[in-house]
Amino acid sequence: MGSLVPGKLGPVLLLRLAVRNLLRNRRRTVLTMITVAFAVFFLHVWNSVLTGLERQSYDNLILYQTAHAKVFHEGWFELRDELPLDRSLDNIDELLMRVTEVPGVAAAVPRIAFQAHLSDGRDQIPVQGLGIETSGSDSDVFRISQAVVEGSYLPPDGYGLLLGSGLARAFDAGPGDWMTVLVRTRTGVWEAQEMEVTGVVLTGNPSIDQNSFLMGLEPARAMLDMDGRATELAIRFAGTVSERSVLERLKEALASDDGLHLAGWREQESEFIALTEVKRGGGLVAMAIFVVVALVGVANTMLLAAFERTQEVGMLLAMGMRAATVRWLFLLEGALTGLGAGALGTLVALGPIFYFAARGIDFSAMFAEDMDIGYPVAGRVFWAVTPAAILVAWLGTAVLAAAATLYAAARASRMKPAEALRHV
Amino acid sequence: MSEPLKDPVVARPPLLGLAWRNTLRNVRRTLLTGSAVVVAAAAVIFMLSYTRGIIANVEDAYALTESGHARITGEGYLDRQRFMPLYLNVPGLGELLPSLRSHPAVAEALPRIRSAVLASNDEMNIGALSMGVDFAREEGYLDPQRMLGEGQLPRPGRAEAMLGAGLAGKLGLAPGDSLTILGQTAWRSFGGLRVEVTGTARSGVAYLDASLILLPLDQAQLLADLPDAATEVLLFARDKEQRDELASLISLDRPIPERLEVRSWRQEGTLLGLMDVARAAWGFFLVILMAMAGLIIVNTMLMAVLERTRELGMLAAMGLRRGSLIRLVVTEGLIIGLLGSAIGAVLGTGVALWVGAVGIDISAAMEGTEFPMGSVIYPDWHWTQVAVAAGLGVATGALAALYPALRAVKLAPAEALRR
Amino acid sequence: MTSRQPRTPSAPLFGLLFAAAAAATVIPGTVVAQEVREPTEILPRGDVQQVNDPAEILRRVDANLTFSTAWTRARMTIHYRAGDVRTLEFESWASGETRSFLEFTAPARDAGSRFLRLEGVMWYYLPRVGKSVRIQGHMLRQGLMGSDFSLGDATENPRLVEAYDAVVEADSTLDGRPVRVLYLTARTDDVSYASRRAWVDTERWVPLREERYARGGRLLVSVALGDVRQVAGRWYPFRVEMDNALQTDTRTVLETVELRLDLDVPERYFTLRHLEGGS
Repeated sequence: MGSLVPGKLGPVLLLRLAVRNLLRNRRRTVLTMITVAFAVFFLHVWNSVLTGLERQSYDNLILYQTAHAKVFHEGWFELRDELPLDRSLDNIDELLMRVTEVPGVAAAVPRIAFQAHLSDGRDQIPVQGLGIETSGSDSDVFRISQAVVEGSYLPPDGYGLLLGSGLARAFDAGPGDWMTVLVRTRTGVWEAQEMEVTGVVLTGNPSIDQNSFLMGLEPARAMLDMDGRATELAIRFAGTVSERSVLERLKEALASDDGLHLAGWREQESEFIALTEVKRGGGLVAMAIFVVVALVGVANTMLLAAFERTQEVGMLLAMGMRAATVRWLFLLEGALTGLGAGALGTLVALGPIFYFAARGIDFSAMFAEDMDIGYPVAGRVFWAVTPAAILVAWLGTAVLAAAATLYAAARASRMKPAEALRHV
Repeated sequence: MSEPLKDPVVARPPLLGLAWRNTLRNVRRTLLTGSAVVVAAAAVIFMLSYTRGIIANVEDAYALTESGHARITGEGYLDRQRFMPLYLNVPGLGELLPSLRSHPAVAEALPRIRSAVLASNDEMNIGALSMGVDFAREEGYLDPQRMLGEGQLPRPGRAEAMLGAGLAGKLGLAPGDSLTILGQTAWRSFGGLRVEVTGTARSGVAYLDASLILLPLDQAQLLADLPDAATEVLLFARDKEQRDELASLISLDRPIPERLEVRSWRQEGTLLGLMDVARAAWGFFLVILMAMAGLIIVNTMLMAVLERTRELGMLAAMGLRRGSLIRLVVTEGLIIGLLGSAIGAVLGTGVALWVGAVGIDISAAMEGTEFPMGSVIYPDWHWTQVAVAAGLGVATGALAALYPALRAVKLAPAEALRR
Repeated sequence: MTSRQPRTPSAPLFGLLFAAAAAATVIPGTVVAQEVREPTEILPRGDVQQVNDPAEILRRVDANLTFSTAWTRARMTIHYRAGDVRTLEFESWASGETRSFLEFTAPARDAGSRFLRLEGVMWYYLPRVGKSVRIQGHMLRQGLMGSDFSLGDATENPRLVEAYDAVVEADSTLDGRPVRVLYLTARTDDVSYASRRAWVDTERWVPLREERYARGGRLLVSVALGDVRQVAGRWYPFRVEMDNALQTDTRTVLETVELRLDLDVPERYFTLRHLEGGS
């Protein structure tokens, strides 16, 4: 520092001064940083796990349940909890053609979703039935065929059942067992059909694993009196396209037909998406406590530092430094502490984040297969790498730390030089 | 170092008094150092009471609606629980219940009949869950009285029922209307009952309200053709400590008839295991929290003590031995830890009790889930939480003062004087 | 695809109980069967070799087992795998192929339960419910009172020869009687049992055993018929034992206690009013 301190220091000089002050009390600075780094670390981990769960959930929904988008009969969507058969699509081939011509669409396939009762002769429960194409085209859109854990996928003629793993366990049934499917046809008449279980699927999605069975589309049509019809057309987008633009184009392509409803997966699962927001909020209480304790630590340290340096501050003020500059100095020290702590916490967090993002954590040992943890995810949970969030958290730490220093900075800047110099 | 004077007052000074005066002398410093303990202690208490409240909520909801502390069912019933098979049941209640209730560890044995039925009015049939219960004895357990919204409870011996508020709404029924219930008997034949709806229920468990029909036990027995029988008997322990062992206690002392089985609530599924995992996770967080608080205290203590190096050096020059100096500083740390814990305890307890009275409403998050959990969490304050927080606070304060104390005394008094 | 209205199944269980007899010479109590070893004159004398046409065999079976109207009193015993036995008694009135009315009379807890069938629709009435409940379609496959006899089978009486194509599989003996094994395939898709196998007694033209299958070959039900007595020119099984292959823990025996054929059954019996307890 020069012999004469100018009233207002340039930012670079101020920065160097702040850094030097921090380095002067290395131990104190390090201890403060470690404390805050703890909070930063947990914040990153919590965010990574939750985001990973959410992303995996969305992937699961798209791969097994909602596809990227679906076309329904106009009136079907509002009654979708009841799976009405009388509001169905009937010009399937023409729709398929129109849809697959839209750029960005990779594949489309019809499906029938219906209410049914499943019985093994002893007991009976209400479930959801899904009639799917067995010629292979369903696998262009969904990944059910890769989720078969026992037995095999449906045969080409479609006669057979795939049971969700939870259903299979409830009935203690497996490939080779016969089950009776009880349904109400499109015309409202009850119908029953015996079918042989060909395989068991495990998708991680409770809606499928616990509550659904799958059968061939043609046998389903025959059973339900739905020849040539379907309740939905499921669409998969090509890998690298923008969802919104494809949805727009699809909407245009289907605009000419009044009785259709196009729903992207976000619209289909709007309830679930809303729920994930709420779930995030739940963990906020714990995180908030961590952050509060960390900020108290910073405030404490900086305040004590301010008192400790009373003489020094007095000298600076006496030499002509402006009070505002003193305040900025302290704020900067606080911000730098936060920045350093953020860097530390982030670096340490990146280790496990990248590791578990690649390998995932296997929860199946901890939870039974059929525990519904609120996210449609099974087996391995992969953490998410969220550069944007990580950056924000890091910079946010600096800002928060500065905020925690406000009082200390104010106190320091308000010192009267004469009193300060006298202070022992 | 000079020889310590033989003056007893100086050689072995009243440390506590000295430490106390030191603490009070610089209020600001003490406050700053102590504030970390205050916040940490309050946070620990609140977190502990919050998590205890969650666990209590889940355990209670689960025990009261599903499992009791132990449950007697027909053999094989629990494996097919999802189907609620009436043909696997618990007969001979007339003898079984008194026998169970006479056991010293049993607070109550509650028979229930659970079955899947259709609630039918002129326009629609809706799937529902029918529970036949002994209304009088369920007070304090399922507590239909507490659940009652509109109307009144059904009376035993009469064809009356209480509907979950959501179900009543869907069917458009109010107290005084009649309802047809269709179901299966234990023999798999058609069963049915026509009842008068006497009241609506809000159980606090979201998925129940949309589908529950509460019947007097005898009416459910008629519906299912199960005279003197039930699908389950829930056992509740008198003593909280015996909840987990209740099932084994019962099997030892009371002959369980063939074709029946007893299961402890710990053996049933993974819900309570999930709570154990949650408890461990929260415990881990708390340890980290205390570590953070400890670091803060170390930091501030360091600054406080080092600031007083000269003062401490003077004390040493006056003859205070090193050991005593260390003890002095550590005692000051203890006092700060104690004071901080005390204030933090008051603060934390206050918040915990206040939120515990008001409750945290998580019904938004519970919507759409089938989790047996009440929609409101009441943080559950217990004095042991204060003990834990205080212990941690005091220990942290003392330990955190140790290092600075050692550092301070390493400096020779002369050096200290020079500073 | 054919109409979804479930058609009457091809081989009625209860149809076996109602044989169209000549005169109503039934003595209350038990039907006295003539202990004859030879078929009576009403049925053409035939020995095994001469009846090669499976359709003709079916025709003869139908002649024994179908009726125009009938009243019966019967006892149904359900045996449970766990050892319990449950015995119920009922009376029933039937007219034509698909109109019947059933009322249970014992035990007390089941007394007053009633069933009415008109064509493909069925209603049941439970005193405790106080009004009729309609069922159709798959519900007709539910067992009557939880037994192995389905509601549908219990209330029908159609003709095999019209619903099925048959081929002769083999000749054999069963319980000491000469039988011809027939394999029947449903002619249309809306028949309950896609295929059957029947062991037909070639002297009396009554099936002694039947197995019924779903499409795809899954066994749905096994039937054993016995206590075959001669009633006014027909041969008729007074004991039927049924095992629903999908309901694995029960086995049901139906015994006809009293039987009256070709009587006047008032039309009002087949009304909802009668079902619900009106006159």
